[in-house]
Amino acid sequence: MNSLPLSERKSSFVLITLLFLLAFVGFVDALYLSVAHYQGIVVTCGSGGCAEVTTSQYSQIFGVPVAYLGLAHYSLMLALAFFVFALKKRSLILFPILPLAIIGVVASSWFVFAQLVLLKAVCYFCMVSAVSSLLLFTVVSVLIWRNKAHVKPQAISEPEEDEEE
Amino acid sequence: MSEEKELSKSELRAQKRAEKQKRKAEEEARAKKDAFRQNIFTWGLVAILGVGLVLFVGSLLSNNDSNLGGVQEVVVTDDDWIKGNPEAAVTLVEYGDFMCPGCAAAHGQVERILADSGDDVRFVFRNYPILGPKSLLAARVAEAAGAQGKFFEMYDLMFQNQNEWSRARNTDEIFNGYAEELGLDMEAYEAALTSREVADRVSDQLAVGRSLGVSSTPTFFLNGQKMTFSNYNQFEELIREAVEDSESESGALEVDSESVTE
Repeated sequence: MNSLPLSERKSSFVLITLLFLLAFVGFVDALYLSVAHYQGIVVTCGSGGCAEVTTSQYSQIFGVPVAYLGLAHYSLMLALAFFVFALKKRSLILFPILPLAIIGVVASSWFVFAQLVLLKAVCYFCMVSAVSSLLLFTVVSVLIWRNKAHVKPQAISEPEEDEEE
Repeated sequence: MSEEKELSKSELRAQKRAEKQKRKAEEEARAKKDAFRQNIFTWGLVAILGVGLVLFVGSLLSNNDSNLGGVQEVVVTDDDWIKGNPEAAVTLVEYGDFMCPGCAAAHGQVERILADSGDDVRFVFRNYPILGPKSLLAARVAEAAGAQGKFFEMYDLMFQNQNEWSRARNTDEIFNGYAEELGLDMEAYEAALTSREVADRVSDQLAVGRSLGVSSTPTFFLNGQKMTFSNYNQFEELIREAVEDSESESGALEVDSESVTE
């Protein structure tokens, strides 16, 4: 980490803080939807279509509630973001946060499409999740793009250090 | 002359080296300080978010307790759709979904009980559409019909023809047909159907039902208390008892020939 130039280290730190905060927001959002689903509570939101969306046919994939899938996704994301943010394991950004972020964006795109086009109803909680996964993907991409030269050698050397410890 | 030059050159070099070292040390000290600040910030943020998360989960779980307890009373308001004598002593409130088969079954029972009990029972129906887009649409259609004073007429059509529209692809066309059948002003009906007001009414009913601990449909409340029964004989019995209680309480000594010997 000390091999990084000071200026880059600072801006990366801001981005990594953002990464952690976004993962946290997504996690809390998914947690709320999952708990509500588990308790059999219908989520409502003012003029939005939360009840409609969260009880629609698209709210399950092969019988698994999307809320639970979202919770699993963001739990993993938050755990990895914690490692990167608090424990400085930056090598995790390339693998596996990037694939996870890509999965998040692809899944979110489908759900946004389902809400706007198929259901014509918008669930705010689902949109919060979609926006945070898009931002997460953006932040991760920027981090990789900016620190490419620095992160790559680390990605190779760090796991070895871990094993020795 | 040349020696002096040499000396000053090596001196200069030493000076430069010393400066460089000093700068490096300063930089390292600054980096250390930065790292220390970053650590404090990092763990402070983690701690704050952690505490927030614990509080959030706690409030979610405590919400659940109050829901399960169902301690809140059901209050009938001017906004409610009321069938039967509005002044009746016994109030039956149903949270129902037009698409749920159990609600369609209950519909027939409720109709019969209302017909039997005359002026003794007032019935309130509240939408609790939890079965997806079609059930939500049905609730809005009923509300839109209600805006023209035909809520319970639409309610009857919905339940009587549940099989037809709940499986159809052109559900909205079928609903339009019902609206025409009831002689609604179609322009006003269509405007109401997509209005914010109707959408809000339905979501408000959902929210109140949720706060009352309604988790399935149909859920009935008899004089404010959530009813539990295993069959419709029992259901009817509970309502009859409530009617009898209210009569003895109010001291109405009308001799009731009906239903005593059954």
